[in-house]
Amino acid sequence: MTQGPDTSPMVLIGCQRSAGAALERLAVEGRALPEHVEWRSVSCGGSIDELMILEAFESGAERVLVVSCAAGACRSVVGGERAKARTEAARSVLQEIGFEEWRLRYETMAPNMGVDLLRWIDELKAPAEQSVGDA
Amino acid sequence: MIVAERKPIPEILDMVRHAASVAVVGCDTCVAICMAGGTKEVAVLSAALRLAAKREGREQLITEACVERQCEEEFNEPLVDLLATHELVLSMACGVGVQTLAEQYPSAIVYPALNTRFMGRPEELGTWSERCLGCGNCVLHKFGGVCPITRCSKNLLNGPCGGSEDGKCEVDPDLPCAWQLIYDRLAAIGQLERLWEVEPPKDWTTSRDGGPRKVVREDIVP
Repeated sequence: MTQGPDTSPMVLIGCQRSAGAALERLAVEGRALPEHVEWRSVSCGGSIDELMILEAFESGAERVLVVSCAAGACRSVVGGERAKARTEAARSVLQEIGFEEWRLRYETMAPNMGVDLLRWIDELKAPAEQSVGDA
Repeated sequence: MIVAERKPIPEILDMVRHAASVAVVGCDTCVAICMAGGTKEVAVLSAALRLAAKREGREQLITEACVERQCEEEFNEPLVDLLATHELVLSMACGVGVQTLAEQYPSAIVYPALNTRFMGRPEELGTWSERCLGCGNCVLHKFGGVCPITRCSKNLLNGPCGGSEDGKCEVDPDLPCAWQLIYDRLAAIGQLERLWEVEPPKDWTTSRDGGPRKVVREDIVP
């Protein structure tokens, strides 16, 4: 038996140059983000911070996916590293107030990884649901 | 500057959970520079408290505010209405700021959200280290500008001890030996002869031994 996709609200925070470009390519192919996913674009992963992630949860998101450019591909050189470090800082705060670790995920990507992006969105759900879905 | 760190959030929640309304008040001076209690950190903690309240099914009003310098009353004057309308004030200032708010607004319940750590300086982005113990009788001129009271783990005025090895401290091998730093600095400025001077036991009466300290400038006091 396969469980259906999780359609609870999700926020996708990502760099315009990687995730944003990937979404544009997907749109050309007629594919779009699921309706329950809100896209929040930043000009560089380096501008993503704890507050942005916490505000995403405050606005009603049950899950947040943070995406920045792959190592070595950041136009600002260290944007991806900063995005990762600040995502971990937000994770730490969320864990202190009882949020499960799976609710926040960080990935790096290139503009040609739109399919991977859609897969990560699909995978971002409670571990129990994942195991049922994967079975 | 004064260096502080945010308390663990569960500890803060234990302090504020019962309150219907909480004003989170930051300070945009020292604790903003060490990224512990400025406007940004107030926003982060407030968001976390709101999320925690929602998750625990509690109704709680969290209001954010920040002043330029919480340790001086005139900067806190704009807070009068905010403090009067909130059950509890969570100060993100150092211990001085927390006590200033509490003294200035006696009817307000003011709790600390930070642990005040020390007087220090930023070494690099995200790293601060202690430089001054506030002993009240500065001797930096004798030690090449390196404070043996603060930077030697044993506070030795006539060092180094036998545990200094390869320029590192035996208490913590990640720490430079303060006396190695003193030697290197005195050598660099041509004052190695100072090391022949034996420093007498320190008079600690200017430090905390005399109780809480006060500085009074008679020429300024109204």
